[in-house]
Amino acid sequence: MSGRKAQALSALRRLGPVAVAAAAVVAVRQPHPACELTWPASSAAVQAAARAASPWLDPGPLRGWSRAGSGWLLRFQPDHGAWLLEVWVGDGGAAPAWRLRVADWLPGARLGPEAARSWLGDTEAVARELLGRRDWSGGGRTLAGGLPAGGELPRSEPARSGELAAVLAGLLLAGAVARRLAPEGRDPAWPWLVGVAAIGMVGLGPSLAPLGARLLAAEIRPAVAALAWWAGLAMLMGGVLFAALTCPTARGLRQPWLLPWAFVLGLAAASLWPAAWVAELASLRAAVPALAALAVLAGWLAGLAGDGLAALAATLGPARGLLLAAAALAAVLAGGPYAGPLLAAVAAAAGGREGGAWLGLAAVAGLLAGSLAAVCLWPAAQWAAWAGLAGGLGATVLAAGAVAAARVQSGR
Amino acid sequence: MSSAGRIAIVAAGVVALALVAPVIARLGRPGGAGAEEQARQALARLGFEPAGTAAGRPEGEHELAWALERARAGAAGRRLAAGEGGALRWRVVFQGGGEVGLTESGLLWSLRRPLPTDPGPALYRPRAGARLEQTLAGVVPDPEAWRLDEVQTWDEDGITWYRGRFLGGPGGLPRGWRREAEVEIAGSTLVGFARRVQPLGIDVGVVQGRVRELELLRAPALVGLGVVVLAMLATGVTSVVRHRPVAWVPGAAAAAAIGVAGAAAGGPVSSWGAQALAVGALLALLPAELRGTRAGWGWGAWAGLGAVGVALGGRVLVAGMGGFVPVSPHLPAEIAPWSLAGAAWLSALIEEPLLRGAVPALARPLLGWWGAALLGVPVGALLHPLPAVPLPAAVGLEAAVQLVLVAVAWRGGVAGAVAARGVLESVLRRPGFPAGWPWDLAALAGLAVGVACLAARRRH
Repeated sequence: MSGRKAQALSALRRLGPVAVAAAAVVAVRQPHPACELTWPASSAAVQAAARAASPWLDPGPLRGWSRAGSGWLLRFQPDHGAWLLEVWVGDGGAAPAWRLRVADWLPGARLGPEAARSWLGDTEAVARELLGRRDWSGGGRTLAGGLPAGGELPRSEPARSGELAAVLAGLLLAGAVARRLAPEGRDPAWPWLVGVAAIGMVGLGPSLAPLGARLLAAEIRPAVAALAWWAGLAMLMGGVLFAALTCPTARGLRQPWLLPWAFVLGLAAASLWPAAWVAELASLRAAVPALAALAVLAGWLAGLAGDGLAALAATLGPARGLLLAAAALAAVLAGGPYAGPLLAAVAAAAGGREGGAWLGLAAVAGLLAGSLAAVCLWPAAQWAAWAGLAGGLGATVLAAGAVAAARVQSGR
Repeated sequence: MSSAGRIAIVAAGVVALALVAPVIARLGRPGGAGAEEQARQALARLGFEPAGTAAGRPEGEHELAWALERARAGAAGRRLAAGEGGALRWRVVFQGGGEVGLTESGLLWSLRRPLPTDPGPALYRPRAGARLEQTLAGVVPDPEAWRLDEVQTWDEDGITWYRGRFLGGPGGLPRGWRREAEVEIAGSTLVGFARRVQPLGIDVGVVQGRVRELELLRAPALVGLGVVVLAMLATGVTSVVRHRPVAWVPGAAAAAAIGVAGAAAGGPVSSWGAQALAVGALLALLPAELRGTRAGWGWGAWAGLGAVGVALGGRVLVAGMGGFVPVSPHLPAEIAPWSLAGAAWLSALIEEPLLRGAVPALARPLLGWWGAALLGVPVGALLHPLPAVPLPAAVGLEAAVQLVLVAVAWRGGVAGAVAARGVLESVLRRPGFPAGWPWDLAALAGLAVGVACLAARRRH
C-alpha cells in the first residue's frame, strides 16, 4: 500500500469516532423552543408592513432588527430621522404591536386631559410638555400630540452573567500579557487571517448596519446611526488587528487530531446553550461572509483567552489538568450564553500555546454552525448550517490529517 | 541658558501676554456690569425700591441661541440671541426680595417683586384687560406689536389676581418664531412679568438633532479610547514585569493634576477618578521621549494659540462656504473662574496623554511615529465637535485642530500637546463665562505658565 493511501486510511479511521461523536451530538441535541425561529427578520418585516402597524406617518424603510422577548423588534425610519417606528412581531404570529417615537421638537396638538383620556381609556394620564405639543401616556398607551403613538413593547432582556464576561475579558488580558512576556515562534498565517477578517468585517459594515438597530432614535438620522455603528466596528476591529500583530500566535499545531474534536465540542456547546443572537446575524444578506469573519476573529480571541488560562493554570503544576476540567464543567453547568466562548477558551488552553488558536477557531466554528442549526429553522439558514457542519468537520479532519502527514514526512 | 536669554524670554512673554490679554478680555459674556443698575431701575419704575445687595448670574439656553443663529446667519443671529431671542440672559436677585431677568443686550426679560402688604384695590374686572395692556406697555419696547390673548382672574387670601397672556408675533425674530409674554397683577400692582419665545420647530430640530447625532458619534470614539487603555494596560504589565523604568513622579503629578482640575470643574469624583489613575499610570510607563519636556510644555502653550486660530479660522471658512457653525458659546453649569480653568485643563490632561502619548507609543513600531499619531486624529475628532451643518464640517473642524495638536506633540511630546490643548480649551470656553478679570486670568494662566517653563528650561 502506498504511503498516501495509508495516510488516507489513517485519516478515515480518525474521522470515524469524530463523525460518530458529531452524529451523537446532533441526535441527542436538546430542543430549545424559546429560541427556535421559523422566519428571519426580513420575513417578519414583510408581515409587519403588510399588517399596517401605523397608518399615521410614513414609516420609511426597515433599518434594523433585534430579538426582544419571543419575537422580532423591527425598526423603520425615514431618511430625515424625525420619527422612528418600532414594530414587535411575535414568533407565534400574533398581531404586531408598535410604538411611534417622535422628535421632541416636532409640533402637534396640546390635548386636554379629557381628550387624551378618550384615546388612552379611563386611566390616569400623565402629560409631558414639549416645545410645540403635549404628549400623554397612560394605561400602556401613548399620544404624541394628537397622534396615537402605540404602547410599550417587549425589550431585550438585559445581559446576565456579567461576571463571566469579566472573566473572559481577564483571560484575554492575561493571554496578551503571556504572549508578550514569553513570545514563541510567530505563526505567519494568523496575522493575515485576522487582518482579512477584520478588514472584511469593516468592509461589510454597511451590510451589518441592521445589527446596530439599538442606536436608532428619533431626531438621529439613520445614516448617522449607521455611521456611528460602522465607526465603532472599525475601532473594535482596529483593536483586534493591533492585538493580532503585537501578541502573535505561536506557530505549529501540537496535537492536530484535537481539531475535529474541538469542532464537535463547539457543536455540543451549541446543542446545550445555542447562541440565540446568531438569528440576528443570519437575517442579514451578507450572513455567510459575516459568520465566516466572525468565526476567524472569535477563534483567534479564544486562542488568546486560552493562552491566558493556560498561563494561569501553569502555576498549578500537575493540577493544571484539574483546573481546566473544572473550568469546562463550570462553563457547561453555569456558563449560560457564555458557555460556548468559555469552552472554546478551555479547548484552546488544553491544546497548548502551539495551535491553541486553531483549536479555538474549530470550537467557535462548531458553536456557530450548531447554533445556526438549532436556532434558525428557515430553509436557507438550515442549508447553511448543515453545510457549515459538514464542511467544518471535513475541513478540521483534512487539516489535522495534512498536519500529521507533514509531521511524518519531516520526521518530527 | 544664560541669564540674558531668560530675561529676554520673560520680557517677550510679558509683551505677548499684554497683547493677548485685551483680546481674551473681550470674549467674556457682556451685560453683567450694568445688570444690577438696570434691574434696580426696572423695579423702581414699578414703585418698588429693592433692598440689600444684588447677586447677578448669567443664564440662558445655548441650543435656542444656536437655533436663532441658524435661522439668521452671522452676527445678526448672535444679536438676536443676546436680545429679542432671550437666549443669553442675566438674572439679578436682590437680598431683600425681588428679581429681574435681562438679556445680554439689556432688554427686560422677566421681573418679579415681593407682594406688597397693600397691593391696592382690585381692578374692575371688565376693564382688567385694558389695564393689563397698559401695564405691558411699560415693560416692553414695542407695545403696539402685542395683543392680549387670554386673561385669568382668581382670588387668593383676599387679593384678586389677574394674569394676562400676550402674543407678540415674530417681531424681529425669524419667520415662524413667536413671542409671548405674561403679566401678573395683584390688586392693582404689577408683581410679575415674563417673556418667552416659541421657536420654529425645524430651526430647533436641526440643532437638537445635530447635538444628539454628535453625542452618538462620540460613542465609537470612546470605544477607541477604551481599546487604547486596554492595550496600555497589557503593555504596562509587561513593562513592570520586565523591570523597565517607571516614571513615578510624572505619573503621580499627572494624576494629582487631574484630581485638582476635576475638583475645580465641579464634577463628581466618579467622573474623573478612574481616569486620573489610568492617565497617571500611562504617563508613568510612557517612554521618556514621548513624554516631552518643560520646554515642550512652554512652547506648546503658545502653540495653543495657533490651534485657537485654526479652530476659529475653520469656523469662519465653514460659515463663508454657506455652512452653519454656532457662534454663541456652550453655556457651562458652573461659572466660577476655577470652573473655567478646571474644565479646560481636565479634558487636556485626560485626552492628550491617550491620543498623543498612548496611541503613538503602541502603534509606533508598526506605523512609525506619524502614522501612529495620525491614528488618534479620527478618535479625537469625534469627541467634542460643534453641532455644525453639514455634519462633515463639524468633524472636519475638529480634525483640523487635532492635526495641529499632532504637530505640537511631534515637537513637544505629550507635555506640549497638553499645554496647547489646555490653552485652546481655555480660550474657546472663555465666551461662556462672564466678562471680568478673574476669568481672564483663568484663561491666560496656561500661557503664563508657558512663559515660565520656557524661561526655566535647562541648557542642552
